[in-house]
Amino acid sequence: MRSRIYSKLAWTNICRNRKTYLPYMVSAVGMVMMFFLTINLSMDPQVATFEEGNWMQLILRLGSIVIGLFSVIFLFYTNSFLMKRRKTELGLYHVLGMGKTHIASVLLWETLFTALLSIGAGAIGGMVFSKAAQVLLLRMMGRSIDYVFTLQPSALVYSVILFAAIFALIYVKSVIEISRQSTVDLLYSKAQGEREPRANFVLAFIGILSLGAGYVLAMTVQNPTDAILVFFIAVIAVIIGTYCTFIAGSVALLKLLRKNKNYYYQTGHFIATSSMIFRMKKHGAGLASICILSTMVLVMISSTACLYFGAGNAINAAYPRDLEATIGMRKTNDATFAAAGADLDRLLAASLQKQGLKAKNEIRYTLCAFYGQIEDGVLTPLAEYTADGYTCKVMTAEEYNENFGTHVSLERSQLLYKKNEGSLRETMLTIADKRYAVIGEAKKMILRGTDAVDMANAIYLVVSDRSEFDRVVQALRQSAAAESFRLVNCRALNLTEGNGSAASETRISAAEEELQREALKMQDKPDTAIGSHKGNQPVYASMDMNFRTKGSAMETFTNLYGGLFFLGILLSLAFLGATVMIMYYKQITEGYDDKERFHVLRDVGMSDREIRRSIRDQVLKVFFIPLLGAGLHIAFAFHIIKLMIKVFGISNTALLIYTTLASFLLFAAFYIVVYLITSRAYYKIVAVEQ
Amino acid sequence: MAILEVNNLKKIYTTRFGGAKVQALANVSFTVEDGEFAAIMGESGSGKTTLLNILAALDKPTGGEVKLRGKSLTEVKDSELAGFRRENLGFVFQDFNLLDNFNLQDNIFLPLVLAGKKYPEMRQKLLPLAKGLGIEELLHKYPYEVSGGQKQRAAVARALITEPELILADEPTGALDSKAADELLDLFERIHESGQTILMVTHSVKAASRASRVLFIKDGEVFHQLYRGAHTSDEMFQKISDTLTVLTTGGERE
Repeated sequence: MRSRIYSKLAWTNICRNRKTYLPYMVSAVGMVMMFFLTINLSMDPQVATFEEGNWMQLILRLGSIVIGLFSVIFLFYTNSFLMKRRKTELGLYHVLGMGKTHIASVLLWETLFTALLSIGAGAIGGMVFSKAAQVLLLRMMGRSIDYVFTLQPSALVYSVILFAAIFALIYVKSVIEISRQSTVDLLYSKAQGEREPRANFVLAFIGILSLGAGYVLAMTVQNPTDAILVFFIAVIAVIIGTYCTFIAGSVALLKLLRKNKNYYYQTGHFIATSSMIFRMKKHGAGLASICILSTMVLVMISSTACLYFGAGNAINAAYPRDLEATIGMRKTNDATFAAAGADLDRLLAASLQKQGLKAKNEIRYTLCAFYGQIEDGVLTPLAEYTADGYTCKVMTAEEYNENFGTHVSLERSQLLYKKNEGSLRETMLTIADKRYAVIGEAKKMILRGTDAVDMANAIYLVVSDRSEFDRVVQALRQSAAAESFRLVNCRALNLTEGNGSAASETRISAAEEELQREALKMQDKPDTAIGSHKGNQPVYASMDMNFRTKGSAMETFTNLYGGLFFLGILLSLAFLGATVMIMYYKQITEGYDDKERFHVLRDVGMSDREIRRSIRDQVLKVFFIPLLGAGLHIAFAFHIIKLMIKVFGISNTALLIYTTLASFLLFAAFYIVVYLITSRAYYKIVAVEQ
Repeated sequence: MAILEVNNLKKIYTTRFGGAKVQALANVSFTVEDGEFAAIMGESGSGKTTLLNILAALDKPTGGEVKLRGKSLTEVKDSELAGFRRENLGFVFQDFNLLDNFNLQDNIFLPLVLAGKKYPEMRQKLLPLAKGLGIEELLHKYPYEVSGGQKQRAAVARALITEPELILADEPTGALDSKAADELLDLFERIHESGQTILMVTHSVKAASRASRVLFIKDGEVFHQLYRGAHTSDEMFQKISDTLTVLTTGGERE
């Protein structure tokens, strides 16, 4: 049986080349596992039942697409490494009388074995770890772990199809490659003399330019709403820049160093400089890949961790009390508005009583909310929100004092302000044709809900008294904002049980549901409503009532950010795996090259110790440049990451600094460990000589 | 005066698992006089490479000693060995052993740079040498850009630039075509005439016939030696061929 021969040969080949084959298969297994885990969770019917579950599953599905694409690129890369090392062997088969078709069938068997083993092991591993992944996801989403273990058959089918297709493509590529080369090319592909790389100053220049452009873009973007788009552009620029700089820039720099005779002809620099030129030529692209992957890991982990750990603080800042109730009205008159406020109070009282809860530390105030723009010291009301404008809220000093425990008294031509970020440059502000002196910040003011974290600019203004407040409202009724401005009655309260102890989550959410129900009733069936406007449908229809509890907000956030953090970790694992593999392969290639160099240097009169030190220095430089590059990238990306996180509702610079530093340090430690382990493979190869 | 003394050299290799022992050198003794051009001949497996490795201080003998200018190699400390080799010995190899990442000039400079010499000094040494070897035009080329003969001349320059006591050449013509081999041997003769001591290991009769003395090694021992005396290269060639015939047909020692 001829096919028996081929399959047997293929199997021995895999076993004999295990030093290069094993890492290839391990990475394939890892990718299959990762893909299966992600797609399995994205189809988990239980995750779908969560409040933010659909969103979560969309994120996971996107994540699985990323992992799938990455698997294609990565497996092709590792396979090309494998093939390069094996060409001599395949050439020898050819010389010994195997036709290209025979070689192709050996390769077919090899691919078949590899695919079966990796997909099989990956799928089994994926199933084994799927429960762990589910538990981790639920934990991070703040859920209790009483869900049953589920496996989606279709997830398995997708994984098998995807990876079978990848291996099939890899096989086709290998066969095409083999058929294009002559036997001699195959036999001597490794022995071809290394040409000295040309210093491509143009490419180096483009690289530095592109890198600089990416950095500048990332550093200068101001508006969070632009951040995501700018981020993508900057990422592309930095990727191009990194590749060009690593490939061409490094060679150009080293060549300049070599021109300096006093520098170059020194014992310590001589061998290092010239060997580095060759190393960078061969490994520039690989090192740039390591650098990019490392940066991706750092960006993902630091930002998602910041979101995840920042959610609690952000919610505490945005929700000063357990329960918040607002009623906003457009185009209203004072009497109706006051009556609506009374309705809200009545509704709250009724619902709380029904749940047996008591209100505590209640904040009550009236806001006048509108969109506006500040230009040349004039605040102009706008009909719609614009990106460079503000959401403006006005309240009186009296209510400010009452609710936030301050003792501010203002002249009628003075005001205080509070912005969600930064301070106001203007010292005089004209509102509704009247000039006010901005005398300071309303430091104790707690910004409402989304204003605290919103990506939009928000400004709160405190005016001296009710008459000034009314003057602004009157002016707004005449302005462009007449249709869109709102008067808002706000109530924020802490809740306690009847005996004064803190209220339980379930009771609070029951109260919230009750309030929602009653509010709907008011709008749908005014006749049965509690309010003072029985039967007066138009009034109720024009108001928007909102009830939010801190607990439900927290749940939304942890669901969302827990999921994102989970995905960040998952993707990081995939990228880390790839980094490890690239490093391992690089070490092996370096090892085989250095083995010959080692020999010559020793003959010329270099001691083993000197050689080892010189080589270690170079290898160290080569492998730590990507880490340094990643550090630089993340430092320049900090500003734009901060802005993007703001879009997600978290604005906490200190926390982001912590998560960035922590992820960098963790990553660096991991990197060093991987380096040390993989460099053992390197020394093993080099040391065979002795 | 003897520049190199080899006394009762023995080398026994033990296989990795401590089983069979292989004797590479049984008992080798000879001397090389100052300014001599000596060749060592022998078949594959006769112990030539082992001998050369020991002479080059890359390997240690099991017994006996090697003295260079009266100093025993075993007395040189391990930490000083590399420096000792660099200062006293020049090497020429069959496959040139030039580094691909250096151009010829830098390859030649390599031992000097390792010794910490400054560029102007190195340059001064290189110029006359390169001219003498006919490679001054090629100094900025890379090894893969020049022919085998040119590579070997660069390797010779690298061996000579430290002004060593002794040049050790291991099959220097082995990878060259006959024209380049002839040129290299002419070069060796010229260097020899200028007073340089050379010890060459070869199994090319033609190469050996240029030497002033030929030692034959068989089964780890010096089997025979021929002095050139007043003979021409052709006569020497004939004598060497005859000796080899005796050697291979298993003749007894004279």
